[in-house]
Amino acid sequence: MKKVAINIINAHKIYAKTKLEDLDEKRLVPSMMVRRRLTRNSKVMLYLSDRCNFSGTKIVYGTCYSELQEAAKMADAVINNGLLSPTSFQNSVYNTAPSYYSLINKNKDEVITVSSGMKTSLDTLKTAALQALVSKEQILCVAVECINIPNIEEVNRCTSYLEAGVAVTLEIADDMIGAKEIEDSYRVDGIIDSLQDLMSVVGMYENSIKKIVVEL
Amino acid sequence: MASVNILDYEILTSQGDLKESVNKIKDDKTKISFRKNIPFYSFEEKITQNQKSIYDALKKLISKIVLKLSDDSKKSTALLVGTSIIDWNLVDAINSCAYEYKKTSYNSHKTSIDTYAKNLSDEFGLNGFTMTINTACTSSANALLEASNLINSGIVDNVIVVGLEIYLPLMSDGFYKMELISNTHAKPFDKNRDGLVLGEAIGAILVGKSDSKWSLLGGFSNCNSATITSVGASGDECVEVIEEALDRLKLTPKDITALKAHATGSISNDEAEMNAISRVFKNGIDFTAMKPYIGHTIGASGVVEIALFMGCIDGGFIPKTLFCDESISKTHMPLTKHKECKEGLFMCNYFGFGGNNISLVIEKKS
Repeated sequence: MKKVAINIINAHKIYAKTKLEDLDEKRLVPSMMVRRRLTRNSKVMLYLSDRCNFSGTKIVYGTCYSELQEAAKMADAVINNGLLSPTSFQNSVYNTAPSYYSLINKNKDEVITVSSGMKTSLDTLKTAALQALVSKEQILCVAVECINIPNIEEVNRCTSYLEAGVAVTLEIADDMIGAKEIEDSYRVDGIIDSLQDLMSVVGMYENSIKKIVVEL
Repeated sequence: MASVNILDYEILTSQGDLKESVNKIKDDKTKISFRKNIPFYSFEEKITQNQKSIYDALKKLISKIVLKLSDDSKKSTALLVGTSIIDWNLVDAINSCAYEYKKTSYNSHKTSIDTYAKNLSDEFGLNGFTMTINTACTSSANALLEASNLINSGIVDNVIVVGLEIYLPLMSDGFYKMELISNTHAKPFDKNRDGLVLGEAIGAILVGKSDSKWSLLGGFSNCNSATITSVGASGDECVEVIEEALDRLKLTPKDITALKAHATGSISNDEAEMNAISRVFKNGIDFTAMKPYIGHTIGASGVVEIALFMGCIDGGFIPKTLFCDESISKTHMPLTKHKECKEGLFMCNYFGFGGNNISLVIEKKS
């Protein structure tokens, strides 16, 4: 294993019991036609990237549950021989959110989507650190989970917040001096585990700890 | 861009293992089957849709590669998985709550999609660095580039890159209902093409710095779509990624011996890709498609198609493109006969959902 240090340039987190409100969609996505097609994960990702003032081009995106709402709609249509919405089908892939980001922001650089169960945000951070190490550029590292679908309460055992997202912009640090390991004490109670590692990093940033050790 | 060597590779496709698949391609004996009356390239021995069955199949395949590694090498070997299959616990959750008329019991303790990589790494005593990439059709191709980054950054000496795609009714039915599936065969670049045919496959490629006749020179991956599902008809997005890959490797189109196209057999993507090939390789290029032999293996296609293509070159030939009788281009036609070839520089392209596009270049030296 190799340890690298990253500088956290900006960070933001957001979560809601049922639905995240006021994601500033009209400003971020002026085209109504495009706005209507966006998934929940896409809206959260766009909001977080804006709050992080991300102006670079390389993105690493993570999600454990992906586009659950779209997948559920699609499954329902398949099982019931109903009409399958082209939009739902198109929107059901894991990399939907960063793809919309690229489309809307005319971003044409590399985008990686990682899905690692409850370690998703940690692996997303590791991948982002690797990208930063190789490219020497700023990276947007973002993880989102939106699982507010009908009857979710019957299976939800993992979170008190059905919509949540977390993002940091980072760059590789010149040295390890003063870099801190990720501290669990900055976790947010009730948040799904797949986001907790990155939540901790944001918590550290908010407490002025901006140089973090990542073990690759 | 620093290259890495391709030290070993294994696949399991609908046509069998690597040797069987290559032989069936060479002898024109590949077979297609059906799932729920939909054309589909299925494994001969069914891998059921549960985690243990999938894990066992991966373990069997990867053990062929790992057994050749020394204990020291294993400790510096990471494992990356590229797949687009939906998490099985996600499917269970949907089954349990999305269909109001049909409740099923739900076990929230099921493991997630990355479990394959982590458990395989532990089981084989590998380095412990794992990553599961899910960028639709480009998943395992992107994993190959990430593997290259890991090795060239000095983090590990070797990486096993796994491509995984198993039959999933949700995905198959989804493509079918969208009328994206051909009723017969995928006919890439043919005027009468009428859609793709999906397939299941697993594959593994070991990359590292040790000497080898094969190498992954590098490539370029980006996210740029005309729409959320596809590239534009002009092929601009495909041209961009191909040209950037060539630039980064300081190559010109003339340096490329042959090209393995993405070539799904779909109306729009084939048109875009053919336009891109025509624009970049103005003087012509030998190009072909692997999907008519094994189906579109989505997230696995990056690893599996490259491995199968390398297997064919090791067998002394570039495979022809099945079912292309009349090219959509007046100037560019995919290979209609197997062509003798034993070495060279080969470009492998993937253009996927969400505008995730990637172009890789591999080389075989004599």
